Amino acid sequence: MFTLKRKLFLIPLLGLLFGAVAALAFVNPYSGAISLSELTLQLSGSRGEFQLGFGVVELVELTLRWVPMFVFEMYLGAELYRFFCTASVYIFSRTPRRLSWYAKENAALLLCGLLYQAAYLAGAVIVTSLRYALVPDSPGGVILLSHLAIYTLWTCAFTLLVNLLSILLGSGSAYLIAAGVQLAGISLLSALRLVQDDPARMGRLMGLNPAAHLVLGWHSSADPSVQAALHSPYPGPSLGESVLLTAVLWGTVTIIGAFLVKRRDLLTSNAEMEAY
Amino acid sequence: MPVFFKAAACQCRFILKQKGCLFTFALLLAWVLINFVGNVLTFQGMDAAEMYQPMKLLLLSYNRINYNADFTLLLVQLYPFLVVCPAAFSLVKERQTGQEVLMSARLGRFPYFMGKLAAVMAVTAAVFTLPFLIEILLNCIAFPLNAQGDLTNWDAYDPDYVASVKHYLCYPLYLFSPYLYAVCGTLLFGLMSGVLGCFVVTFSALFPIKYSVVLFLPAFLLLNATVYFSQIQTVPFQSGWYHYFLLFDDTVKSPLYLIAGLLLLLIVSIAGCVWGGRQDCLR
Repeated sequence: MFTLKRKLFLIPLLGLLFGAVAALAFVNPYSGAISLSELTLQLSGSRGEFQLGFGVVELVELTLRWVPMFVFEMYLGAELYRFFCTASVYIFSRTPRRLSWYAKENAALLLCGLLYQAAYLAGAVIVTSLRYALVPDSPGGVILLSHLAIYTLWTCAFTLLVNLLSILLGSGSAYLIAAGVQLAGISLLSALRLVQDDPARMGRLMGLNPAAHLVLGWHSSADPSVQAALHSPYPGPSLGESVLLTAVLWGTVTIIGAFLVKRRDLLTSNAEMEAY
Repeated sequence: MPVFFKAAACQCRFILKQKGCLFTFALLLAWVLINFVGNVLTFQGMDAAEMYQPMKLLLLSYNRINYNADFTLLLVQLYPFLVVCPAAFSLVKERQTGQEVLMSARLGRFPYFMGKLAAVMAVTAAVFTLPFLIEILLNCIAFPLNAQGDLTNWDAYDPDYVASVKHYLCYPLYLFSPYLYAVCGTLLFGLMSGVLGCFVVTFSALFPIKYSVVLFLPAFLLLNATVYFSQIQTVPFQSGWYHYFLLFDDTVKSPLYLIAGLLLLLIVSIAGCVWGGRQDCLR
């Protein structure tokens, strides 16, 4: 928690910077005005008013939009892990209740993730409002909050995963696995082009691929005004379902991590020192 | 000088046996073989007159985006992370185990660092070249060498196709021989990977690195910055790294930008290592 406190200033700053860069790179309204809902959709993959397609170039651009999450996972990917490196026996002899320690560290990580994503969105909104006329709309608020929730939970889940895998495999290998899983998810989105003519199958495949839940332009909503703002041509999941899925993902990683942290033998060798 | 060559050779032999190097090579080889088998299963029995140019079916071929580029897409996404794996962790590992002090005492700090740089460049280049050269060989064996088709399905004399071919890097080489173009392009890809590996090693020489996860950052940010640049700034050529790293890319490119970028990276890497070599071992 001590080093997280020191990073609490830098994390929102990093988020603001990435948000500003994302706004410059991806937010391009055809007219001089853009609604809040369209801004949020463009941050998650849409190109102008068009939803994300399945072409290679579009999916590479989607990967670009995930760069801030990858950087966050790199930056905080050793926050819990460092307690298991050198002097772990000393540290955990002073902290006998490991689960309580784990819960506090996890909460701090979640807070950092929330601050980061909030700053990212704030940076994007500020830069966009300076460049264009930003029009707030009520569906935009719902879509923005959904974006915040989904991306925060996803980022925190994978950052925690990097930390936990680092305890077993070392930080380099752990990060490679976590990033590889996310990138494989994006690559698998290209398979959706094969079922474009079968909406039911496409909806099922979209629901099964967790990466699809981060593309807000593919979502649907029961609220007519939000549905009109999303105007997805595909039968995607609802925003609530995606928030639930990412929450379940984060919860699953947290529970598995609790078992690992509690049972980890502290006298085993330091994975960071093993030959790579 | 002889000490430098001995140091480089010794470190090359050591790095080639490391898990990261072997894993990356095995992954790339598996990828290449899956792509090759996929091509064989898709195009077997196709008439030679209609068949696509075998080199345009390679994993490194940008032309594949007109047909099925799922594996190429995954390679483009994973490459910023994979380029670090073969050898760029070696200095950090040796620093953690104390081998750096031993090697610096035996060889001298400057020959050790420069030998390390040369070894990382050679190993990374080899790992990112050999699997793709193997694919070129396999494609030459499996597919008709006289096939000339393009995955855009444009006619060879179509003015749009002719104009797009002129945008290939070193397109006169392509006109002379697509096979030689593919081999040279693959060697260039390996060279560029080696330079990136050197850059990451220099980063680890200059800054104290406790966790190897941080070493993914320099190459990752650098490569993605080139793509962000073309999104933010209107320039008359593509600045994204994969437009220069992949073969048969028909977007407008600037060879001067590529050469300047590579030279700058190389100079920064060498200068950084020279400066890092003057630092105290025991800091």
